[in-house]
Amino acid sequence: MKAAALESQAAPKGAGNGRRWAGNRISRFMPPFLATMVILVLWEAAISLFDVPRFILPRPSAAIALMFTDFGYFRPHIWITLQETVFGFVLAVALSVPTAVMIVSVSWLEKAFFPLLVWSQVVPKMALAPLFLIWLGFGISSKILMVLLLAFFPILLNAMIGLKSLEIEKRYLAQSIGASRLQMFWRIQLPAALPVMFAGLKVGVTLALIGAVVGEFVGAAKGLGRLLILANSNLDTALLFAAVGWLSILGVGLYLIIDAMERLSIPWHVSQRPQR
Amino acid sequence: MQDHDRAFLRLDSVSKTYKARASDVVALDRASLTIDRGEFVSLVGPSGCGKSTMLLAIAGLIDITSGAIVIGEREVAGPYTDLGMVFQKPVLLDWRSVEANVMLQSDLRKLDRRQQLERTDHLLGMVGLEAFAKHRPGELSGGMQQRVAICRAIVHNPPLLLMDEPFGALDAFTREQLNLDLQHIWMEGRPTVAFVTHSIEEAVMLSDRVVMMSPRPGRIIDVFPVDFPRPRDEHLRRSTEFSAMVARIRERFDDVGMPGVAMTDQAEVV
Ligand SMILES: Nc1ncnc2c1ncn2[C@@H]1O[C@H](COP(=O)(O)OP(=O)(O)O)[C@@H](O)[C@H]1O
Ligand SMILES: [Mg+2]
Repeated sequence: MKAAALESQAAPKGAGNGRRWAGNRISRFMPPFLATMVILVLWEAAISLFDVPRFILPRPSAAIALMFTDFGYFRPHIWITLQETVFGFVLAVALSVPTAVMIVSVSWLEKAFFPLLVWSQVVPKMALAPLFLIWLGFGISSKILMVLLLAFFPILLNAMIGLKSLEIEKRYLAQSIGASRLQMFWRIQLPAALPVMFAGLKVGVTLALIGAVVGEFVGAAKGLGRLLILANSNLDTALLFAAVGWLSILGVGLYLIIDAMERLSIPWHVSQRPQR
Repeated sequence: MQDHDRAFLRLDSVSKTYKARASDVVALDRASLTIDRGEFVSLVGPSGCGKSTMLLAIAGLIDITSGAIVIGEREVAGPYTDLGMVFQKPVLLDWRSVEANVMLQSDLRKLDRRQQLERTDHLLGMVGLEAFAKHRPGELSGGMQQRVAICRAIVHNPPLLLMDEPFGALDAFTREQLNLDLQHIWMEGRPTVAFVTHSIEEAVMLSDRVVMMSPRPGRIIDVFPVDFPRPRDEHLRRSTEFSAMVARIRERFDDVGMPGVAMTDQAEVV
C-alpha cells in the first residue's frame, strides 16, 4: 500500500524516554536541516553566478526575509488556510473512521458501498471545485468540503485495512476467552489497527492542506492559495516563494502534530521501538 | 480401555477439509479419540498432518466438515471458552505489558482482579519473567513471549488446556525446566490437556497417552499409553525404560514411512 510505504519512510526511529529521546530528535532533524541549508546556499549562489532575473526565480534569502519581515501581511492568509485544513481534516476523520468501522463489520455494506467509494476517488475532485463555489460560496465552507473530499479516502482506506488485517490468531484468542463483540472491537481490533490508521492520518493531513490550497485557487478572498494566484499574476516570485514557504511550514507542522499523537498513543508500535 | 464415565472430551469421526482455491486440503480424516477428565494426552505427527487443526476444532474456533466433538456433555458448536489455549505463535497483544497480557483472561472474563494479579505474578516468577512484568512483548525474545502465552493460558485455572507446540521455540534447557513446571501445574489442578509437540521425548515425559497421527490427511494411527509413575523427573528421562519407550514410538514412525524424527520443523509456523 502506498500509505504503508509512506509510513515506513516516515517512521520515526526511536522514542525511548528522556535523554535518548532528545538525542534521537536531534539526530532526526539535523540531516534534513543541513540538506535544506545546502540547497538554499547553492540556489543563492546560482542566482548570483548566472544573474537570474527576479521574475524568473527570486533569491531564497529575499523570499525568506519576506516571509518573516512581512509576517503581519501573511498572518490572516495563514490563519484562513489553517482553519480550512484543520476543520476539513477533523471532519474527514470524524466521518471516515466510523464509516470504516461500519464497512468492516457489516459485509454487505462493504459490497454495496466500497466500489462507490473507489469510484468517487477516480473522479477528479478539482473539477468539482467550481461547483462547490456555487453551492457554498466564496467563504471557508467550500474549501472545507474540498479538504474533506481529499482527506476522507486515505483515512478511510487505512482504517479499513487496519481493522481488517487483524491476525486470525488474535481473533481466535479473544474468542476462546469468550470476548463479546464490543470487547473484541475495543480491546483487540481497534488497538491492533491503530498503527495503520495513523499512517492514513499522515497521508490525510498532507492531502488536507493540498485540498485547502486547491479550493482557494478556484476562488477565494483570502488564504495562502489565493496569495499564490495573486503573486503569480503579478510575477512576484519572492511573494510566491514566501507563500510556498509558509505552506510547507504549515504542512510539516501538521504532520508533526499527528506524529506526536502517534508517539503518545501507540508507543508500543514496532517502528517506534528504539533500535538495538 | 476407556472408562466412559470419566470421558471428558470425545472426537467422533472428525473430518476437516479446508476449501482452498487450487484444491481442497483434507486436514483431518475421520479422527476419533476420547480423552478422560484430567488426562494428559500428547499429539505427535509430521508437519502439516492436522495437529493444529485438531486443537482449533476442539476449541470450536473452526467448523468441522463432518463428525462431532463433545466436551463434557455438550457438543462443540462455536467457540468453547472454558479452556486455556496456547497457540503455535505467542499471539501477545503488543500494546499490553507482559503482566497485562496474562491479565487479559481476568479482564475479558471479569474475574477477581486481585486474586488473578497475584496468580499472574506467581506464574511469571515461575517461568523466570518476574523482572519483565512491566515490559512490552516487543522487548522479549520469542521464547520469553511463548512463556508469557503459557502463563496466560493457565492463569485462570481452566479445566481444559489446549497447547500447540508451546515449547517449540525454546532452548533445550528452558524447555526441560518448563516440562517439569507444566507437570507440576497439571498435577496440582488436574486439567485435561491436549498437547501438540514435535518431540517424542517431551511427549513421553509429560503424557498419559501419546497419540500418533499420519501424514496428511491426518488420521490417528496409533496410541501409546505411558505408565511411568509421577512426578516424573530428570532421572526418568535418563533411564533405559524411558529411552526404550521413546525408541518404540520412533520405530513406529519409521514403519509408517516417516523415518527418523520427521516431525514438525521448529522454525515453521503454520
Ligand atoms: N486456513 C487454512 N486454509 C487452507 N489450508 C489450511 C489452513 N490451515 C491449515 N491448512 C492445511 O491443513 C493441513 C494441516 O495443517 P495444520 O493443522 O496446521 O498441521 P500441523 O499443525 O500438524 O502442522 C496443512 O496441509 C495445511 O496446509
Ligand atoms: Mg501446527
